[in-house]
Amino acid sequence: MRLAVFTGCFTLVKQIAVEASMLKVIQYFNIEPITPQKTNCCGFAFRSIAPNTSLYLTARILAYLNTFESEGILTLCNGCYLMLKETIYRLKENQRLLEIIRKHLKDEGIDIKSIPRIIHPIELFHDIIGIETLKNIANKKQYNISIATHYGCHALRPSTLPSFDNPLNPHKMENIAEALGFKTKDYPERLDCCGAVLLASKPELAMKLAYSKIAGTARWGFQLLITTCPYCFEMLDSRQEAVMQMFGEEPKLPVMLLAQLIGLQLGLNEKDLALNFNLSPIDRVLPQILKR
Amino acid sequence: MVGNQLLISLETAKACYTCFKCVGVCPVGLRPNMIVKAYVGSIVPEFRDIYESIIRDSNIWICAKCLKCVEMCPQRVPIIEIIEYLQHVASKHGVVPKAYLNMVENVVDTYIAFSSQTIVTRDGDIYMTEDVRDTWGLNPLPNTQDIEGFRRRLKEIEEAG
Amino acid sequence: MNILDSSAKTAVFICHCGTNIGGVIDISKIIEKLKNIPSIAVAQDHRFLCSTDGIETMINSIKTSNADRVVVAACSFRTHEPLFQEALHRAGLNPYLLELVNIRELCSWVHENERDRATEKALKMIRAAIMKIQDNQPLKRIRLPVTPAALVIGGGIAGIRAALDIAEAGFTVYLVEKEPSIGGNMAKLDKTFPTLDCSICILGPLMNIVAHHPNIKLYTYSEVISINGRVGDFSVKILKKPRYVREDLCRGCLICIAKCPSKTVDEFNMGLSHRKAIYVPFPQAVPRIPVIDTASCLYFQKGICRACEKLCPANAIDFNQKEEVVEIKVGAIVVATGFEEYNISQVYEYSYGRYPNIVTGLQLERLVSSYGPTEGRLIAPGLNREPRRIAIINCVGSRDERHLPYCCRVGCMASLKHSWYIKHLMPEAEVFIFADEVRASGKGFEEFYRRVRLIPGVYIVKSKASEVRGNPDGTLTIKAFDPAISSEITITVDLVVLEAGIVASRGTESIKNLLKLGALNSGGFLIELHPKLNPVETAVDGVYICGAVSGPKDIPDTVAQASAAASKVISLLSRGYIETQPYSAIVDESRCSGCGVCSSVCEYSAIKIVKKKERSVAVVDEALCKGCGACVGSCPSRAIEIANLKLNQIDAMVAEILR
Repeated sequence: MRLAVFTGCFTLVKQIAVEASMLKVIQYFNIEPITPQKTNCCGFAFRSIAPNTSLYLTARILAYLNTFESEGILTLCNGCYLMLKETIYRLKENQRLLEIIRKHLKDEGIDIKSIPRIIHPIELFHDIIGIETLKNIANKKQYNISIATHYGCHALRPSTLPSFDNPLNPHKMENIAEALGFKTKDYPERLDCCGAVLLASKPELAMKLAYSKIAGTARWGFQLLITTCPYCFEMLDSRQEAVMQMFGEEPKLPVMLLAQLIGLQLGLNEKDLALNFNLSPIDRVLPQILKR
Repeated sequence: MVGNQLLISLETAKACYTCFKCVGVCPVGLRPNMIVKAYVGSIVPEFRDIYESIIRDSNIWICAKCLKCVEMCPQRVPIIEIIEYLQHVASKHGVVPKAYLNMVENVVDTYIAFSSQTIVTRDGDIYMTEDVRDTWGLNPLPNTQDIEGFRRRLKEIEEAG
Repeated sequence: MNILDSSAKTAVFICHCGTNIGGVIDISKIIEKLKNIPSIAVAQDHRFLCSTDGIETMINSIKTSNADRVVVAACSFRTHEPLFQEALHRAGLNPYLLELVNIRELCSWVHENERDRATEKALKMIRAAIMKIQDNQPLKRIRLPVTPAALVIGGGIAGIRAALDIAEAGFTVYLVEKEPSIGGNMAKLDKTFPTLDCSICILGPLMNIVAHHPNIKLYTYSEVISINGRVGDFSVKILKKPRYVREDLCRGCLICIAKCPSKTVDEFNMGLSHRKAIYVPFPQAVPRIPVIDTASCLYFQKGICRACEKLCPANAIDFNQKEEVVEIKVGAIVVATGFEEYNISQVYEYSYGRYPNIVTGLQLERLVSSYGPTEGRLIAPGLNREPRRIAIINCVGSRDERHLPYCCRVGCMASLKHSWYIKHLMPEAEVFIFADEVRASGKGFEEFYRRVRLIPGVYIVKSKASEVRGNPDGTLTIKAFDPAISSEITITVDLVVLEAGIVASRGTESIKNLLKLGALNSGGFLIELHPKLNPVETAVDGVYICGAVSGPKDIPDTVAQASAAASKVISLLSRGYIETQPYSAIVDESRCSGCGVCSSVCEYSAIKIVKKKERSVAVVDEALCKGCGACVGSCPSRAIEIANLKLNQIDAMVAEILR
């Protein structure tokens, strides 16, 4: 299977572990990633400021990746995922803008012709690679580790667009964790926002949201939180120390990317999975995962 | 969800029956139902005052786009479309966080919203973007050779809309 | 057939219907054009043809012009056909020498902005009707007998009331209830609003009268499995599910229940407690004869135990009892299958089913009921102590485009009643009601609302609750925005009561299919004949609906509808006959080859193939035939036609329109 991989700006520049771990892991499942160097911002930041431009930016990505033969576009960032999924519907509603955008695309020798499948990492592991395959990798290992899942706001919402899981009560990430031998449970803060979008307009408020999320989750006794989105990872992992200290507490919740967790099950080493960039206290849980 | 007024019908905004669920669920303490009413005020003169005040208030940018209000609304009011439209109007009045303008500038100059930065490891080592990408065998940042053409297109498209 | 040299004399009347028709169609122009046709005896218009003045004028004109058939161009035949047929009768003409042309719904109302073309179209429609009526034959209504008995499906308060009313009028009533006891949802309530009457105290006596009424045959633990026939003559099959207890021997001592070792979830207590495999659903059950639930009975599942059989002093246990099919004949059917609560675990923000101590309104009724799982002490299911702070959340699943768009009609009053219950049982408790609106429109309702507001410790927040979240210690936190203080509030409580939306009960679907009734997509409620004028009749003659099955409503409205349905039934049964509209299929036996295609397409089983003098021909039962015309379309020999809608008449209409 061939999949075009769209990283998004933030992964390209900062959360490199998201890209590194995902590329390493999918190749194990015989998925050939297409990773062109040419890319541009998906336009999420432009949505309110320059709406037409944001549609063009996303359309440019869709058109360019269309030139490669693939079975879909694997999107590594939740924000980009929402943009790519939604732009097709928006352009259908605004024929005039669509024509203008297509003219500019054609000038560059590309065009939007067909609607590609936009794939979220959770969807990739649960629906495409499949739970059975993941169960076989785990090989009946059972960990005494309880995992909190964090889907992120833009993976499933808004429910006006078709989604790969139930927006108000998803279960696919839990299925993956349990297939790998871990324990999971529902918790009230599960669908809460990490606050990343507010880094641009009100950083203190962003930190407060991240604190509510981390502290709220930790009080249920989870040993690990997993996510796929680089922005969520930024708030919950990279900034965990700053966030907790803002409220007079110490970092308390290990955070990993889903691809890193799966990679560890595959026997990939910490360097391959870029685990050295995880700033949350993962050393509290890593030895237990690596032991068996 | 693009700030295009034509796409948000007044009827869907007036479907709101002021149940306040959106206010209770908002993690940042905004009042989405008031913002929806402000949108009605952009068209109906009796509610104009709230519209005029909201588009000049930087608080419109506090929305975290978590979309919970949209999921909770029992009348399926297109809340996020309305918020983004009012953010758009606000930006035209000069009310917009600087960080967004920086991101726009970066895209116009380099194709992407951020520029190369420092990355820290758990052990406290510091690296730059290019080094990390190189070490892990990943593509370098996009080449800015044809940026002029890109810049021109962006300008044309925004003006055409 | 040429309209100009027909010998028939047609009278044409056109109604203005105020400005409904007259404001769009140029009626005087049409009258002018019609006067040119020689065979038109008279052509008149009138402002309101259906008024007494209009009808009198029409009758006079028919008599003085010697017209022998009438075309009326006006509104819908659905509401006005009987009126004009009666007018023809009074003018001395057969009522079926009438053609109604609907130039309102089918012309003036849909072409409001195109007056010239609308006038042209109306003229064409009227001319086509004149062409058709030339070949109309006088028809006779047929009188058919009505069986003096009724079937009531559903043994809740609606079914009970209807059955009692019909039985009191002297007719036999078969009351079929699928649960082991009658009583329905009302038996689950503790008290009723706004009077706070004890529910079972007012329901119980009615249940007992039903049990002993000489005219009522009660079938509990039974279901209707087939219905055939027509109004006045329905053949119904009732499946009596085996109780495995002999009704004629059981003395009601209930030792069997005390000794039964097997337990399962108690449905009457809505999952809050357990019952035995052999059980009586509640103490006041009618009939008070136990039932064995085979799914949880150790004998039926594993072949062991049989304790009840060994210990029954009357030898009433019979594991070999079989289901029985009873066939009855009735003249009318009343559907009263009621409602159930919507599945609110789908309303994820309120976390029903995800944390303990979140219950629905009906579950709260069971908790406070003296014959409920806690014998009337309000104990939070997961806390094992009395709750001190309780939140009641309204409109869960109701008024919500994502779930049920309609209002549940009873939730607001139920929430007030529930806060009264809680304060009555635990005077020190605090109750918070979250409701963005409070609908208290019935008699005494607003006064009850004020009464509850004045109770100390009851607080009403005028907004919908946003979320219910569980805490590690078992308490629950509700987030909302209180507009009265313009501020967010976060309230932590021990128990949350969710007033769930209501939908038609799950048994309604099969009854709907058996009777070919219509139902709404949203909620599954059955559709009445006319929402304003015929609230208890349906589109199927002889079938009536009442109570919550036709839409959410409270007990007073349910009882009123039940009596209304009963009065319709009594009127039908006491008249003793029905008259059919003679628009039925007629077979030309000389052309019929007996191929049977018509019989196979008839939805009403009205056609049989019969041997007549060595030939097989189709024979139509006029009582069953609805005149739908499916047989006409299917016949390869043009041997079957609908009376007064013959194929040559249709050809004539088409030719006239295309001219």
